[in-house]
Amino acid sequence: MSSGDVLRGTPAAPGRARGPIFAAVGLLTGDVPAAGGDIEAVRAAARRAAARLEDLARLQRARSPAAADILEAQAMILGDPALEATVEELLASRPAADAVAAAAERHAADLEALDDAYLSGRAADVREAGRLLVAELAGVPGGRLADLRRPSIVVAHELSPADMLGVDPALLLAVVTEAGGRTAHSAIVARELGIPAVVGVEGALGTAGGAPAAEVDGGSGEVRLLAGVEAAERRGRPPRRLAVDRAHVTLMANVASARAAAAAAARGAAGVGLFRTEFLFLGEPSPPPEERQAEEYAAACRALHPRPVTVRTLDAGSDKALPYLGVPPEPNPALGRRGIRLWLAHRELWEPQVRALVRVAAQHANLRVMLPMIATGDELREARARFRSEARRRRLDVPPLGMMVELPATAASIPAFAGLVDFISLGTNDLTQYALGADRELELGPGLNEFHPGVLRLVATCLEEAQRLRLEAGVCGEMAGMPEGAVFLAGAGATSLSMAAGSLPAVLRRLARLGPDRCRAASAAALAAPDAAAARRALRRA
Amino acid sequence: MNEAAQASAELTVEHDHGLHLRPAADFVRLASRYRSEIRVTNLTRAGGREADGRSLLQVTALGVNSGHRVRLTARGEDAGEAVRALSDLIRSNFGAGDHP
Repeated sequence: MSSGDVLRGTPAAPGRARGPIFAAVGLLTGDVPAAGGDIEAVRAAARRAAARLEDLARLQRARSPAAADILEAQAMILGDPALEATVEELLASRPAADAVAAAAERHAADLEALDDAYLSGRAADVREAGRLLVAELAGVPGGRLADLRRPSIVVAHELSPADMLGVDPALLLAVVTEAGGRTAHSAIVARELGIPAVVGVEGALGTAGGAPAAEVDGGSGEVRLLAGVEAAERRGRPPRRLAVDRAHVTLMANVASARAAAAAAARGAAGVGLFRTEFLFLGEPSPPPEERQAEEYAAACRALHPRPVTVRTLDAGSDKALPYLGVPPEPNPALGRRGIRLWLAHRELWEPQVRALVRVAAQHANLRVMLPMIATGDELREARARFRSEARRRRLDVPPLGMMVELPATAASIPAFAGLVDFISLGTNDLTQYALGADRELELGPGLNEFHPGVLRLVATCLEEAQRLRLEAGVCGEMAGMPEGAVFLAGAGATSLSMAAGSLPAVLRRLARLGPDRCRAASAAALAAPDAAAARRALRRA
Repeated sequence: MNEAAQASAELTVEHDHGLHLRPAADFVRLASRYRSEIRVTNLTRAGGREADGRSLLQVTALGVNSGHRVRLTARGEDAGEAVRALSDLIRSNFGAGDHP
């Protein structure tokens, strides 16, 4: 095979992408490395593997609910009494890894024998659970993308939801697998994440795996091999750079990595309004060291220079658990030790992050720091003191410090914080869920959303106060990425809106068409609306 | 230990996904909270197999689709409570909301 050749498979998730090829190898389903142990060892390994899947599911639920359900089911299968009984029976005659692989295969075949589309999906989960358990027992990595370092077309025999959710999304340009059909879990997850995918490509690893680059069309199922990355780039039309200054508010991007920040910069974003640092802390045995964090923040600052990069300190909690902290589960994670509360309480979390941020700020004047879940002035004073003491130690300056406004009580008392911060940013997702007492993922009823009259008033009051106090006030919740939400926020006085880069074009179009006066009028009309549906109508009509 | 009590109920599963995916996981999670042994039988499929209510694999393998009738049987000190709670879960259509 040579460049220009085209491989064909089943189109599984639409979209086109081109880039270098990453051939993902790793433990295959059915592989049995030598690993022994008794039933207790198997149980302990199953618990560890299940805990990792559950952590990943919790962290990624907002991004991909279907994938989170799949991961949770796989975690349950790892602890399934029927599977355990079969493993125990087989352990009498063979080593542990062998017994686990055979037991998983037996139960998977059982489900497939029922000849039902749902059950074939579950059979794949049983095999994946078995594979992860075998990997755990043998002490080899179960994940296949641990070595993925640059944005690539990933070619693999098979990929699992855990593989795809466990890596920085900016690195997955497209997915090509030899196994699977449209209903394969990797296909479902790819569609949910918006990653182009072609599955069922016979011999993909052997042929594409040897080529330097490829172009994938997830809509037609074609994988075209290219001679090199340069060729891939020449062929690729870079996305049109957006003229974000046509809007009267600053339009920025939410990102989770330096990679994504660079992509947002190329797209024309006027800055990064929210750099989530959770990804750096994920899937590692311990918090990322200062050095690793500094590299990532500095790369983002370089890519955006001179536009601002707003790095949010780690926002974790018992619902987004970090296994190495040993934080006990809480009955009500949304109301527990999370955000700034957790961060301040754990030196291993705040110290390397403060050090990295102070260090990067000394070289990159566009770095700003944002603290999540602020409820009291004391939390801000405490956080600032830690930045100040680190800055003093190194004879450097404290970077601009802002706070996220996510708690209704904070939104209603902006003057109390005015002297303590350099800017504020409204996290409308949490603000809405706390104001309405409604988990946003549960879809508890129509009207329980950002456009509820009470939430709109809370947001408007907060923005007005900030304006009066001459405090820069941005918004980085999902509301900012919805055209009608953006119209409301711009009209109510937000100085910047930060959103997923993909939402920028639609928001820009709407704001550029309306201009400041019509946004203001639409905001006022929305504030007078009796319910969420009416408010949205008013904003859409503007 | 109390004398083992037994309780059972027969009902129709109406969830669009039957006892698959999330409903099955919800069922197994709830069943695992009780000390009683819980068995589930699919009365609609011929030769209806019986499953351990705590095993997602076995419950899923019953192939319970929307409209199928199942029998729940519990044996143990909290048998009545277990059957009541699990029946409520099925009757409430697994908490009204459908998460496919």
